[in-house]
Amino acid sequence: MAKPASALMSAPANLDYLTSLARAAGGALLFAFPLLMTMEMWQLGHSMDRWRLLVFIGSAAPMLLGLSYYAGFEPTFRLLDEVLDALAAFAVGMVVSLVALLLLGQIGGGMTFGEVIGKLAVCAIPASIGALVAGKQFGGKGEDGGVRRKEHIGYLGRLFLMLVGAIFLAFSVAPTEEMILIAYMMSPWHALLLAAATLLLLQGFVFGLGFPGQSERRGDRSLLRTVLVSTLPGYGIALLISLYCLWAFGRLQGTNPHEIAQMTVVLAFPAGLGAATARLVI
Amino acid sequence: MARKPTAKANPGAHGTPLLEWIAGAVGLVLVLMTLAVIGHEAVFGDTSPPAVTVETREIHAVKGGWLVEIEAINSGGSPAAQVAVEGELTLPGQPPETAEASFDYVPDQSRRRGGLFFTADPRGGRLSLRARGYTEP
Repeated sequence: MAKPASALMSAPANLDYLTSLARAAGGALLFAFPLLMTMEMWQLGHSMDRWRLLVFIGSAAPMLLGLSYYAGFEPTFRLLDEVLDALAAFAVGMVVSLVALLLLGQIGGGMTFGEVIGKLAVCAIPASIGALVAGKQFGGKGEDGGVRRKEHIGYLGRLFLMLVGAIFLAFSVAPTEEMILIAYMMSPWHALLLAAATLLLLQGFVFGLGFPGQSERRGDRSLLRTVLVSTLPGYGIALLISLYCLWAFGRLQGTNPHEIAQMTVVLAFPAGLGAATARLVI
Repeated sequence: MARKPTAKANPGAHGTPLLEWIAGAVGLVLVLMTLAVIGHEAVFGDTSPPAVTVETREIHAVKGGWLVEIEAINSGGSPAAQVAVEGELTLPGQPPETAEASFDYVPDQSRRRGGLFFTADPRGGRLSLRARGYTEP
């Protein structure tokens, strides 16, 4: 094989990347379509407080970067590559959201440019998570890239994967009215039971599947250790993510603390499941 | 650093393809544009309350009566949800006839379409349209 001076103009390298992009678009669509078809998402793009939306987009940036590092659709190592991947994922997310919303007739007459951009931005965040995760999901061929490195991720890296898993599942239901409705209809006892059930499920998944990103070493998995090291932190992450989503979507304003706690517990159920199964999903 | 030395010897194999640069650049432009649009609205945006007016568009004779196509226009700075719109048709010598519709969501500086049904021909009388109320989304 002739040594190319750089991959810049190399046709196979560019073609490979095109395949990754297509795969990313598939992942974006797969992850974001429930949201793209949710009424609240179309409205959030415009009803969300602009500062909140900015914070929301801003907080997605480090997450996309981290995700690109752990599960990017290119087995990369350099910071520049991670940034490029995260940006490309956002581009894919925007384009997929634009095309899907146009197809679904949710972008059209009577809308201001700001409204359209807001809509796209809200949808592009979950879509770009899907785009990045797709690299792993649809069998990226990183023989010595992402796959091997993921077994060497530290405790923080594992917590990060749990966080992404929590966002992954929580996000797909967080904007819906049902989360609020369920919390209103629940008694405090329901909420306590749900929290207990979530913890049990988390423990079950983590114990059964192993910690996200952990290599198969069954020896050092004692019950108490999993509870302390993964189940409790996992639920903590799920609660924080839930609270953050509720805040971002403006559900906390003028709501009493008790109701906020119940909404958080409700949303922490899918978030906890996501955190527990991050190993499968990401 | 975990990379094998071969990677250094042949940087081309692990260099960045042109397409990756293009995709990254497109992403960067989209991020900046999004942030600029939303940021502009955050800083300079109008935060005045919703102000919804209702205008008549077209009037059609339909089965069972008349249809007045309307447009709800929110010229305020905040979005309004569940906008209730009422139309009152007064024909000479007859009691007024009302019709109402509700718009799920009328964002600020935006317009949404709907319609009101009447049994009498609205062109023969005086039609007054107004928004009755809304909730904050």
